[in-house]
Amino acid sequence: MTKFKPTLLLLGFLLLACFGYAQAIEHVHNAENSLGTIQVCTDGVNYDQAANEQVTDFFSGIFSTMNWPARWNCGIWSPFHGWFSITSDFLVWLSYFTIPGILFFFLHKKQVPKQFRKVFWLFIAFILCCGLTHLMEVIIFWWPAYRLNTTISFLTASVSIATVFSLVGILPASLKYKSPEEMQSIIVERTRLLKEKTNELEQINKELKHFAYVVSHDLKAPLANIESLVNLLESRKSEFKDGDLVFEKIHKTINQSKEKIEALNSVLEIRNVEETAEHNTNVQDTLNDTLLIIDELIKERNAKIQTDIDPTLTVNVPRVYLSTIFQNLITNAIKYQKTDKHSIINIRGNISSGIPRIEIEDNGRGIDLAKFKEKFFGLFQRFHLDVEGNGVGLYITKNLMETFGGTIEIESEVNVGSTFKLIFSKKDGSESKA
Amino acid sequence: MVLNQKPRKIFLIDDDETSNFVSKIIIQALDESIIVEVLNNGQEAIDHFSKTDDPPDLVLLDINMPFINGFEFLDYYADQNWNGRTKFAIYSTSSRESDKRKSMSYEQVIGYIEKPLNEAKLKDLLQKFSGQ
Repeated sequence: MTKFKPTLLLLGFLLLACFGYAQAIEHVHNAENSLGTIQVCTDGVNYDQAANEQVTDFFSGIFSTMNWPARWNCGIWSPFHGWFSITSDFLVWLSYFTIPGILFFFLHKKQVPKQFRKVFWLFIAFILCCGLTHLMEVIIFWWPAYRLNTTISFLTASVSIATVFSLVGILPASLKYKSPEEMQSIIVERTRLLKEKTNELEQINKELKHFAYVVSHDLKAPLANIESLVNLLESRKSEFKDGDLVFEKIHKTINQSKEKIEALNSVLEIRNVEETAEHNTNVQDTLNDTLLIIDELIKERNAKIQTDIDPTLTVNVPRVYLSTIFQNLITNAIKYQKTDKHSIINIRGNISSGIPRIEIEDNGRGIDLAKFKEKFFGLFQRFHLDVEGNGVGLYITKNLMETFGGTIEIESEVNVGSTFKLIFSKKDGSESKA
Repeated sequence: MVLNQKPRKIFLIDDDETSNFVSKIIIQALDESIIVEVLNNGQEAIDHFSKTDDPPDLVLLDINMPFINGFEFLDYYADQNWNGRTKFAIYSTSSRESDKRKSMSYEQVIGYIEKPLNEAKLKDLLQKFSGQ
């Protein structure tokens, strides 16, 4: 594109010269027929009007052409000179009227920052005004409206000055603006940094995974050894004083450590669940099965479970995991019941706007969410130390929900109860199957 | 040949000294006549198997070992076409389902024991061995 610019310019000037030359020939031809049409301007007249009169006079007759000859008649113009001048000014006007159009188009198409928009508009006005002054230069050759010409010049001056101030005003901001090349290099640099960070994170993630593996596996090994050594000793426990008690305590300690590590293992296994297949697990069926698994606990604590579940409701979670979720939440509700009351657990399930929801509401002890909200679904977090627990149930539940694109929320009030809200991933249009 | 066959020689391939110490006692407490030998890691095991004329009848093989782990050893063993008489039992502290499944996918593996070894687990394993 830039390659053609000088060529086009040259071509324009050539055309212009040709046009002027042609006009010159014609004029010479005409002049031969009517000589003496050329007039010369006056040398100047003494003007004795008061200043204020001059002003009112000026504006009252702004289109007046009375006191001036047309430019053709002012001075001695060779036709070539005249037409060269006219055509040049005309072309200037033409391009000055095109540029605002382009600017306006740019403004319309591009997201120009607010502080620059004003300058754009001023530029548009500035160039339009400049164009008008050149147009007047053309018109005056025939129509000597010098007052109008002056007024337009003044208007142009005002807009120009406003543009200057505005430009100076945005100069600091525009200096900060990056050229596409600068932007490109910034993007490249940022991308590089981002990549570095990603690699770093991947490395950390790998280390964490390894750490988790070490915790779960390598801690187990010495524990297993202690256990077997204790077993060996135990076979000769009659030789120890208080042997029974000592071994009982050692076994208890070993079991506690084992349970912790097992809990950690189950968490790790669930964290590594990666499922892409679509599941249509029926909620009511899964709940029924789960209730059978924990039947003993329910009967022992005399818990009452009421369900109101759409029998066709299905969710995109494998059956075994949905069962885990139910088990965790229901056993929690029963375990953390109020000491003076039996559990009443309401389980509701429905689908609205394609999103399956399950709510599990209990009348248990509840929890102070203002204090514990952050920690509530955390790993190894315990909130009621008088009840046995390993602190992984809710952590696993939340992880499972999130693995399958869902969320879990809790509402709770101390001494009133808690409601867990399970929101599952949306069903994409497919009808739920019973 | 006795119907209720028992292993004459058992190898422990494990880098865990304590575990080896206890396992050896447990095995010999059950049956003094069984020879128990220890190889401390997969590399030692490979070295031994490549030379020996008298391979063990049963190996208790740990998974997590330095240099060459249990699975790598089994892969190598399968590639070498060594004496197919030796049976293996994986014994590890890992309770991961994936480890159990992987163990049982090997032809020579007859059982998976979660550590620590005790008399009951050993008896169970020997029963499987004799049932082969």
